[in-house]
Amino acid sequence: MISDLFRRTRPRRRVVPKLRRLLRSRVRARAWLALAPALLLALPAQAGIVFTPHLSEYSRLPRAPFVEGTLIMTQIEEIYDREGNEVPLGEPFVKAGDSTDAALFLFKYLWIGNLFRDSDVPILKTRDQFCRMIGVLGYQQNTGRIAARTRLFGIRPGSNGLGDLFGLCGIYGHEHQWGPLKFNGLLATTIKFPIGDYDQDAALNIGTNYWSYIPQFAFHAEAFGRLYVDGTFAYQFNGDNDEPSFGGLTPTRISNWRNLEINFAWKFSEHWFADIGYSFRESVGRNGYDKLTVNFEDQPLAPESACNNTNNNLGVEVLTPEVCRNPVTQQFYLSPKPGPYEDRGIEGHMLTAGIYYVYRTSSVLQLRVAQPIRGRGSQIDAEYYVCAIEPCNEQTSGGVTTPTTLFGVQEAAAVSASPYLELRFVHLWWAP
Amino acid sequence: MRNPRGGVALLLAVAALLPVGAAQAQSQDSPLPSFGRYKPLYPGQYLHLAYTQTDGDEYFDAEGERRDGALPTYGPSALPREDLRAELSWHFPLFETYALPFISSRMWRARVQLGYARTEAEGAVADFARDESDDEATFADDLATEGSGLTDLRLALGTYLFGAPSSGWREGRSGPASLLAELALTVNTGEYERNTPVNAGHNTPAVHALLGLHWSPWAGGFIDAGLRYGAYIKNQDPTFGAQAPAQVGDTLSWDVSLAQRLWPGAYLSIYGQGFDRESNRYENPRFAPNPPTPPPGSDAIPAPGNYRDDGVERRSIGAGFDVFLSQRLTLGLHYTRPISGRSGQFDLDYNFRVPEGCFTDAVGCTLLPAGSVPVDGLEAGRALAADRISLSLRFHFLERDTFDCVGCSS
Repeated sequence: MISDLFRRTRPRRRVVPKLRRLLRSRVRARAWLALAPALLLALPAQAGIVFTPHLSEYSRLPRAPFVEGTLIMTQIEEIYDREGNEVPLGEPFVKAGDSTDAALFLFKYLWIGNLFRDSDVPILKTRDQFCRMIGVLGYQQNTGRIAARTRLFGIRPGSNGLGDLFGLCGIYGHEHQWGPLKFNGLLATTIKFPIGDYDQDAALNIGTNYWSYIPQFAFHAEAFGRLYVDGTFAYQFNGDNDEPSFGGLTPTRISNWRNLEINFAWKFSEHWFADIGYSFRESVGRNGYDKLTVNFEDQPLAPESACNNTNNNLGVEVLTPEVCRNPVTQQFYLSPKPGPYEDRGIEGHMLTAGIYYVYRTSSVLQLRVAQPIRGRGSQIDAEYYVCAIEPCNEQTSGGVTTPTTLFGVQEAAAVSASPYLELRFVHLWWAP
Repeated sequence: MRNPRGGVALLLAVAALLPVGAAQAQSQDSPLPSFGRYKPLYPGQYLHLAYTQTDGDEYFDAEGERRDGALPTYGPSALPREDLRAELSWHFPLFETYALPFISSRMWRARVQLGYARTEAEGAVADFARDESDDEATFADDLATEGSGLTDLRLALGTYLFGAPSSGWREGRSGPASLLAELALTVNTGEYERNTPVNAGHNTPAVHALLGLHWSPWAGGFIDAGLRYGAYIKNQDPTFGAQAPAQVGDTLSWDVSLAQRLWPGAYLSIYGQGFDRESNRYENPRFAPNPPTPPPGSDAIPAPGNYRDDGVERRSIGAGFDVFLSQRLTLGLHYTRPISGRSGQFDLDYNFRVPEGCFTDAVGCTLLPAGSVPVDGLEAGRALAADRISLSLRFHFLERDTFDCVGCSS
């Protein structure tokens, strides 16, 4: 019985010549093969949320050490494409409803003092300095069908662990007062040390694997003792990432960013505050992708792979079932052109709102919601060779290729359109 | 000069300290049973470091029998683990000047817990992970053996339902008995390699509720008993081919200890602890070490679906000795011996796929039932039976109000 089935099974090699004939026609090949590689998901990760300003973030605080713990949680169900449209995560290749779940825990240590107060060093002797270290623990995980889908490419669907380390130092300006308004500025530079966990075979990473240098100007103002305004402009120089993850869907040449953020807080009492803020970031130029390798792990592929990635769950019949299940076209191979490719850059606009409770002048508890309002994510138009034999490359494909549009992933490329929740606790460890 | 009563209170406070996370991933719901762990402490901040080691070379099987090894379906294996865990905790009154009902009148406790675990599978399961011969044909590829790294982050906040009024906290006053209620959140930021049989982290957030009773029935004697309930969010990426649960069963764990002062500064304790975990759910396991042998021209593939074990449980007993090296520093040694338990196991259905490697939806590709094979539940599905030994160091620092109030009147 079983052996009968074996005998009835047609040897695969008979399929190949027929497939070759089929592939001779680029038009016909593209008609259905193009759908196969275009299955890669947009997987955003932690956004530029480490520096989002809070109440009195840039005010001249007392000389003391401060510690801060911030827990950020999000469930990313939508992202922005390169046209600025909100796209359900995973679509069109899996049905909407799954997500990328992420949690970040930021531990910040801030020191404020003046190392030069007893010296004659100009400028510094009269202005306090500050340094801050930010450590990150993170969790990012694709869920459900999205996670299952990443495994088709031999990719791990998530990651956990230690993030990059941020270190910054700066100097406060003098405080000025004009009537009911008082304000100060500051200058700082942040370095992002790429020490975080990073796995090239992961769809999501806690670490970024590239350096960043971020000079920053910021200010703090108070009016009438009620309105608190904190704002910053930062320019982020990003290094290259020669080891992109997720098969090269993280950019290798990361564009620099402009960051602009402002936050307005209102003091209701000594203990209660509320704020709203606006955050903007934009890449300066385009991200480059030079090492695209993402591909199906198990090949050759059958047409039903294409069908499963298109017809199913879409409610739209792209291919007829007869084509999908045609045993004549049993196998083909795909291989990506590694690049170079470029996206159109990214952009993100976000509103934040939160409440604060100040407890006994030494602790602050804050709850914040952040809602993206507009954005543009990274996408590239990649080319895949289509072959009937292995290895699949330009020669064996006979020049047959199929285009596909791929989303860039991780913080340098993907822009979340879903809100996040932030729970923050600031504690003055020792009283000044 | 400190008054004697304050000194005693401080001594007890340092001694009591806080339950530190458990030694093994499987028993994270059970704390290290330090004596006085549920006692309301003198205000201040506390650091508790604990090192725990287990060979992971014994287990309780699904029928409750103690056996050598760790994963019987793989063959002789071990899952050794070393944990170094740090816990920072605060005891404080909250909103004490506001006279808020329930909140202002009692003491509170907050904890942050983080650690590092070194763990690597050994023996037959490690050999299986390193074997690349079946990588092409199965999903058992890219497997690894080491899951060391940072453990999950745990945040907890609790209050004393009785026995620790906020009115006397500055003097360290508390009654002979107290009851702590605590909620905790596990944030799964720990290392999780997804392709290893052991991991430092768990990849699943969890919430925990705890009731902890402390009673000092006589001078120098301490009884502590805890009951905690843990509920877990779905693990979206269970490790090692999904042989770990996708949905860990709700877990009820308990611990009870009796400690007695032998001489000033030295305490001997005996304790028992255990947990009962409801049935774990395993989702679409992708391989097993013992698949049925396929006939020529076919291969064996697991049938996707949800599988369940019959629950996991373990009971342990142990003894501890704590000694004060100074007024603020305590050294503790604990030895724990699991005495009974039960691991999770499920029967994974298999199909023969004909012809070998065909696409299951394609015309001519046939699936034939191939029976089932037993699979050992990993991680939360295991009840290891190996002894554990723990060395802990506890330090009380910043003896003062946790929340400074510069310029406050109270």
